Formats: sequence, C-alpha cells, structure tokens
Amino acid sequence: MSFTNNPVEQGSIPQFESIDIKPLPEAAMWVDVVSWSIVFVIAAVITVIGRLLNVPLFVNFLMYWIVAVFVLIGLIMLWTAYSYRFKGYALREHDLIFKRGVIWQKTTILPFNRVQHVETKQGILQRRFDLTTLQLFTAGGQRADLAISGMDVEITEGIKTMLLGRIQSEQTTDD
Amino acid sequence: MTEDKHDFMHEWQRVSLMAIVYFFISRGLGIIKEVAMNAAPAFAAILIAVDDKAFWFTVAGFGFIGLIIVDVISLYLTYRYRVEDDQIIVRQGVFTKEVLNLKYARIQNINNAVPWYFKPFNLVRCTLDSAGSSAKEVNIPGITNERSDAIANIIHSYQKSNDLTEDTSQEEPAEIQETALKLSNAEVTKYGLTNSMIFVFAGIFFPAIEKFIESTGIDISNYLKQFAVLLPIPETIAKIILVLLAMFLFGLLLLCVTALAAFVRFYDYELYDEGKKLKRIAGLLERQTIFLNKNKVQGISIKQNVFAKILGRVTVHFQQTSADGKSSNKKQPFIIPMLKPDEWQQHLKMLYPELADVNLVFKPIGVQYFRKIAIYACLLPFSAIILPLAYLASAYFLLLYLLMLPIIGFSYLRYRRYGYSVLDNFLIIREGLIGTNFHILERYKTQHMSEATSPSQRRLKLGSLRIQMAYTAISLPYIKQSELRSVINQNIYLTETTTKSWM
Repeated sequence: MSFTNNPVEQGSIPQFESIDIKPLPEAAMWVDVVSWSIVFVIAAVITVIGRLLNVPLFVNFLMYWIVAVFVLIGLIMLWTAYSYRFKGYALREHDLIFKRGVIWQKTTILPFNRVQHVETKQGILQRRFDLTTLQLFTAGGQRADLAISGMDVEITEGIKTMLLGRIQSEQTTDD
Repeated sequence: MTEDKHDFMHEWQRVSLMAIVYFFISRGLGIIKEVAMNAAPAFAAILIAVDDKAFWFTVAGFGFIGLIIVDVISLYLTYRYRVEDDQIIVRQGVFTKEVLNLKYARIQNINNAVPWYFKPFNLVRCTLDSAGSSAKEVNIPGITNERSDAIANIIHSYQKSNDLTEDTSQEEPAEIQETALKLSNAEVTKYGLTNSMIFVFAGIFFPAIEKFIESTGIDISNYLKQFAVLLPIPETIAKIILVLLAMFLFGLLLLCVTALAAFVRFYDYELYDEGKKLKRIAGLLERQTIFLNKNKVQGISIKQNVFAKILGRVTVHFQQTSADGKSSNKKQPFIIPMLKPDEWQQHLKMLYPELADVNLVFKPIGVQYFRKIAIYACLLPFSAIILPLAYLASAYFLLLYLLMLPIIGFSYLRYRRYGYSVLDNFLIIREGLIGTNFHILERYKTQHMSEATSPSQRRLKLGSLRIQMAYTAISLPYIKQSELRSVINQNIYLTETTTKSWM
C-alpha cells in the first residue's frame, strides 16, 4: 500500500487543546493525602521516641523541629490536594492526553500506535480505593513516557486490553 | 557468484582457523579496555607498591596473554553457527554455553568488515545488526565472502517475502549503486580534530597517568625547572611559559592521537546510495562495510561543536533506534564525518529528496527566552551576592557585575541559534551555542509530544515544545502557543494516520 503524506487543512486536524480534560477520581487526591498523612504520623512517632530517648535534636530544638517538619508536611498535603484539580486526562480514539501541573503546566499527547508496552501498578492504598497507576512506554525512553497515577481500575484495564490487542496484532503482522 | 545457499543451511558450521586472530585481537582489546576503564588506578597503585617492578610487570603481562590465548582457543573450538529458514543460531562457550537465536525479522543491517589479516584468505567478518540491545548482535568472523553474501541473500529474501504488505512505491532496483559521496583522507582526519571527548578522557585518566609517570621515577617538573634556569628570561616567567608549552604539547599529542584514530577509522570513506539502503565503506586496518536501511532512520542530526566551527565543518549523524527503544547509534554509528556547512542539505537528497532544494527559513523563538535567562539565571543571583557585599563592604564589589557579561553573551548566542522550520513532512530544529546544530525530524515518526508552559509563558501566549523521537528527545523553548499547538496537532495527526512503519 503506498504511503502518502500530503498536507491537510488545519481545520480538519483534531485539536488537542479543545478536548475536555477529565479530572482524576476524587479518591486519587485522598490516596495522595493519606500517603502524606502516613509520613506525618511517622514524623510524629520519631519525634516522640526522640524526646523519650533524650536525643539532643529533640530536646534542644523540639519546637523548631515540630514546626519545621509539620509545617512542611502540611504544606505538601495542601499542595497535593490543590494540584489534584489541575490533573486530568482525555482519551481519544487514537491517543491519550495527560495534563498536569499547577505553576508549570504540561500536556502530553501519546499516540497509541507508538506504545511499545503497557504496565499497571497498584499500591496498598490504591487497592483500597479501586485505583491504579497506568504506565505507557514508547521507544523513546528507558522509563515510562506517561504515568498516570490514580486512574479508575476499570478504565485502566480497558485501555490496557485495547493497547495490548493493538501491540499483539502489530507483532503478528511483523512476524 | 554466490554458493548454493542450501548447502550449509540447517547444519552447524565452523568458522575459519583465521578467526582465532580476530578473537585474539577483539578479546584482547576488550580486556585491555575493561582494565583501562575500571582498574587503571589500582594497577598503577600496585605497580608503585611492589619493589621488583620489571619482574611483576613481565609476570602480569605473560599471565594476561596466557589467559587471552586459553580464552580465544576455547572460543574458537566451541564457536558454531547455524542458518535456519527464519533465524540464525550461534553457540559458543566451554563452561557457560551461550546460545544466541536471532530472528531474521529482527535484523536491521547486515555488515561486512574485512580486517587486513582476512584479506589474503578472501575472508570477512559478517555482522548481523539486530533490532535489540548490542548483546544481541551476531558476529561471524572468518567466513568466506561468498558465504557471507549467501547468508545476506537468505535474510533479505526472508525479509522481502514478509514485507509484501509494506509500501512498494519506493521500490528501486537493488543493483543501483551510485557513489553518493567520497571524502578525502585529509577531510576525515579533521573529524578527529573535532573530537573534544579526548580531553574529557584525558582528565579522567590523568591521575592514573600521573601515578604511572611517578612510578617510572621520571620527574618532569624537575626537568622543567632545570630548563627554565637556562632560558635568558626571569625564572618565574620561564616556568609559566614552559608549563603552558607542556600543556599545549600534551593537548597537541592528544589531538594527533584522535586525528590518527579518525584517519584509521574513516580511511577512503565512500558512501553509496543503493535505493532503499545506504552503504558506507571505510577503514584502514579493517575495511568496514555498513548498510543502513533508509526507512529505519529516525532523524538526522547535523552537529557542529566549537572545534568543528573553527574548522568550518559539520558532521551528519543518521540516527537509528532499536526495537527496545535503546539508541543503536552507539554500536554502529552511521555518520558522514566532515562536510562543509553549505553542503549537508544537498547530501540529504539520498535520504529525503524533497529537502534537497527547499529554501529553509527558520522562525526564531521568543526573545523572552533570553530575557528569562539574563534575569533569573544571571542578574538576580549575581545581585543577591554583589549588592549586599557592595553595601556592607565596598562599592568595588559592583565590578563583579562584569562577570555576568560572558554568561549573558552565551545566553544571547544560544537564543539566536534556536529556530525552527515547519515543512509538510519534516520539522527542522536549529540550536547550538558556538556551533550550530540541526535536527531533521520526520514528523510521522514522533513517539509523543508535550507542551509545557510557565505562568509568564501563559500570560505571553508562549510555550515550550518537547518532541520525543525514538532516539532522543528534542526541546524548543518559547515559541508562540498557536504555532506550538499547530505543530503538535499536525505531528500527532501524521503519526496516527500513517500506514508506514516508523521503525
């Protein structure tokens, strides 16, 4: 089959910027917040143990330590909750769009016909909330080219099945 | 005339006895390289610690050669290859049996190299460059030229019969063999002069070199001091001049080494256009033939570092990739070592005919890029240090602002080098600092793309573009948001609608 690559009218090309971005499930935000809460608890436990064992840092600088660590973790938690509002994806027929970032905003468009393999990961908290992390790999990098944490398991599995089917059929054609 | 391909198929084959020479050189060089990379400082330290240096040096040398000989003979005795209908199998090893199966569908290039010691025996080294990691590369040394051709024919026939569904509009007779380019040996030697990495390596190995010189008992600084006294100028100035001269001579020596290496590697460089493939023949000690499938090229980079800028030349890199996404350029780089800057576009016609006569017009990026670097990476950090010092200590500290000038100068050069040209099927990005580099990207081969914006960019309706190709990622900062989005949408459209394989 001959390949043509003629220029097309700008108006007939789908515009990624005009696609409605679907926010991640609210549970994704809670997974992140709870994760940071665990760090918060660990920091609290360390503080108590340090104080009980008379570790100089916790004896002499206890207040500074508490303020610094807990303010930092508190800010991170707030930031995590806030940044969730700026995160979202859009599934088109031939590609996946992922948008993220509060200050520096980044939008990535990854065509499905460039995906080399797909991975899903599910942490303990994600399992509790029925969420998962979708990772798409192209030939372009050693790490995941697109990783979306906090997607619905059902949607992720749908994307994964569709992509694996595509990859499988391409490999069959190659062989 | 090639031999009947069926004579040797489906049976284990041995390689010529002369392959021992190849194994000895390649294994020996490999081990020397490993030792040089990992154990040179330790080796130098041991050499200093022992008293009878000559004895231990001889023992180490003989032990080293003995080990290589045992390794090479066992490799030769166990090395077998077998040509099947759809794959080639290579097995080797005494204690650890290694069997490598390479499917013909995965083979990207079939290359022949003729080391000087193979030439009288009509032998070649056949390399099957796979679409995988370099460990998956098959190397068959010491087979006849006819056998190598027969293997190549079997693989090509297999690939052709499995490629029937692909585009045939670009089909051209395989016999086309037009000399596309010949480079003089003087030109290829210049390539060695542009290799700045030699100075980096020299820096890494300098401690080991220093230890080695110390162990020999030669005191170079003492020689310099003695020589400085003899000169009819003040001793301090003489010492400075001699040290600078020694450094210059050392640099010159390194350049001679790298120029010699380029001369040996690219001796009698010839490039042929064979329709669907490019063929490159070069090499003094080993005449190496490398093929490049045109449709496997992921992009072309025209590179010019500061040394190439001084020499008024550029290097053309045909960028490839392998199926697992790792750049395959490290194992078999396909380059045109030296061209004049106004020649590269004309030579691209062998790969991209439509680019040969296009008048490339590059759009600049936003001047805000330069302002951002000048203010945030230069003016603000400098002021944070200089102003308090000037206020608290002395107003003379304000003179430190002069140190900003080179940084601002380089930032301006970088800003001026950036540019992009959008064609129907190609995106050409220009960048650089002292020299100018170009990246020629076939748009449908894009892996994925990103738009990134900072608050100030959003306010100014600007954005930064990042294109991930299979061999690398290329960024273009501060371009108009409307143009950025147009480029992304068109690239994605071409990528998703193409029926042509990107790899």
